[in-house]
Amino acid sequence: MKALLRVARLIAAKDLRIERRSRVAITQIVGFAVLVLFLFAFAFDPTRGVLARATPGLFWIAVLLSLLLVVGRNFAAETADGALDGLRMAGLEPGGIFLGKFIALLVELLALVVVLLAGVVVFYDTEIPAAGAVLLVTSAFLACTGLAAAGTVYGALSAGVRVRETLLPLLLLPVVAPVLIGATRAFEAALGTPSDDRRAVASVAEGWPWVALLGVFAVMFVAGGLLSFGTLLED
Amino acid sequence: MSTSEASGTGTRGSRILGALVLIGGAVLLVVVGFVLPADEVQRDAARLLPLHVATAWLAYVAFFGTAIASIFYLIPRTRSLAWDRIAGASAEIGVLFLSLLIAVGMIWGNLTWGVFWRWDPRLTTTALLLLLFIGYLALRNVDGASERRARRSAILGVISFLFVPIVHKSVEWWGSLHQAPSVAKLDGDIELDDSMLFSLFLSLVVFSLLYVWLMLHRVRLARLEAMHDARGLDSAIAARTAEAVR
Amino acid sequence: MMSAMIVASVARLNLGWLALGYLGSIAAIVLYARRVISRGRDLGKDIPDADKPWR
Repeated sequence: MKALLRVARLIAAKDLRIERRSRVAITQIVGFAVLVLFLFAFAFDPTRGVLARATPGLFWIAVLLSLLLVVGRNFAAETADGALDGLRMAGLEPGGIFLGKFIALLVELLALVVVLLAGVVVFYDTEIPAAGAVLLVTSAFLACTGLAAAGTVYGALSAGVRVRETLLPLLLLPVVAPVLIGATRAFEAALGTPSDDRRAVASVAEGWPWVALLGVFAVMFVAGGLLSFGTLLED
Repeated sequence: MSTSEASGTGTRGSRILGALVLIGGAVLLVVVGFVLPADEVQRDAARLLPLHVATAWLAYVAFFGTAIASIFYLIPRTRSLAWDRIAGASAEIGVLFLSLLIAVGMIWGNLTWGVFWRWDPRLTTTALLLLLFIGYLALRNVDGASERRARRSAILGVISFLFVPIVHKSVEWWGSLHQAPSVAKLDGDIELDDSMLFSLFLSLVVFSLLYVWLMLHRVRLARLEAMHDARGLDSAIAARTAEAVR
Repeated sequence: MMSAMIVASVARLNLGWLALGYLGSIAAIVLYARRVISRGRDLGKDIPDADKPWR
């Protein structure tokens, strides 16, 4: 168990160091995510309230689109020079490799979510009510956990395949649909977004069942990743 | 289906089975078209029920088969590329019938609701399931070492199948926000009299046999493909085609 | 008179969709099976021991 965590820490530190040094994550992926926010604003007129009502959903779609880029990068580094084989050869436990890549992805996603939240507050004029803050943070964290775990599994599944750019979205997006649903509803409740034309505002309490869904999803994929990574990395 | 060929994917058994499917299918068509009375509420649209239920049954059986074969592949003691081929064949047939299910469902929806699509939890789950398994087939189609591909496909097959309940649950909750689940009771509106029960039963039998028949051919084809790849016979086929053209 | 005509045309439309459902499904299944079987024949011709038992 201790060895597992040590491996995880090593891998996560390695991945995050690569990202910090290359700066691609900061300049390109964050830039992309903010660009998506702008595109949504162009598509949904910000002055007519449509944008405000759709904000939670648009936020998470922006996260999903960015997730595809982050996952692609996360595994491009490993498959480039057969580095993944190197990790296996070094006798590292596959569960540890999974945890490490998962944690690195989670950290990157959380950073992205923070930036996007700031972007939504600034550009979409979204207010975060104090009553919903706990729900907001919890659901964002659990959603990112689930996305990071699923992203790691599917990244490994499509790693080293020639058509990966098209295969990864096709495989990953249907699977994370429950996260999109759950996180969007939880955010609607946390932000008090009017849910329909009747202007009925979702209450914070309505958000917690969705958090449970996000939790189940995250647990399922972390467990699935731990179990399947050994088989996936046998190549 | 010619009788003399020993080199194709057909065998004596598969031909008998195929004949049974044809006969059963013909009987089913006659029963559905002429014996079955038009439903009071749904009128002739009710005649779609046997087809609809049977395609759904076959699709889910096929995906279940994929999951089981994938598990057998993943267990080290039973690991064999034969399981991989079974999983792939079953998924392909499942995708075919799930597409039919959705297409027929849309026709039915158009007849009874007046719209092709509703964001009903069952419809949405089914569509997502189809997308999941189209992705599965896409992963199977990539080139590379067959063991590696088999391993990845097996994991994806198991995950995709295990995933159905959570997708369904989330979509159900999501749908419950917008509408009452009255659409889900569609089938309940149809009076299940004896002729309908019989045609339902017959369609399930016919489609089950059809599944076995298609599987026999598709798995055998997968085996031939593997043998072919192993021998590198591309040039031989090219020569044969050239002959045929001349 | 008018309503009877409308009912009749709706019923015809109904049957058209119905036929599309059944015939379309049959066509799709037949096309798929034909593709599998003919590809099997093509491959089988070139593999002499193809008709060995399963596996």
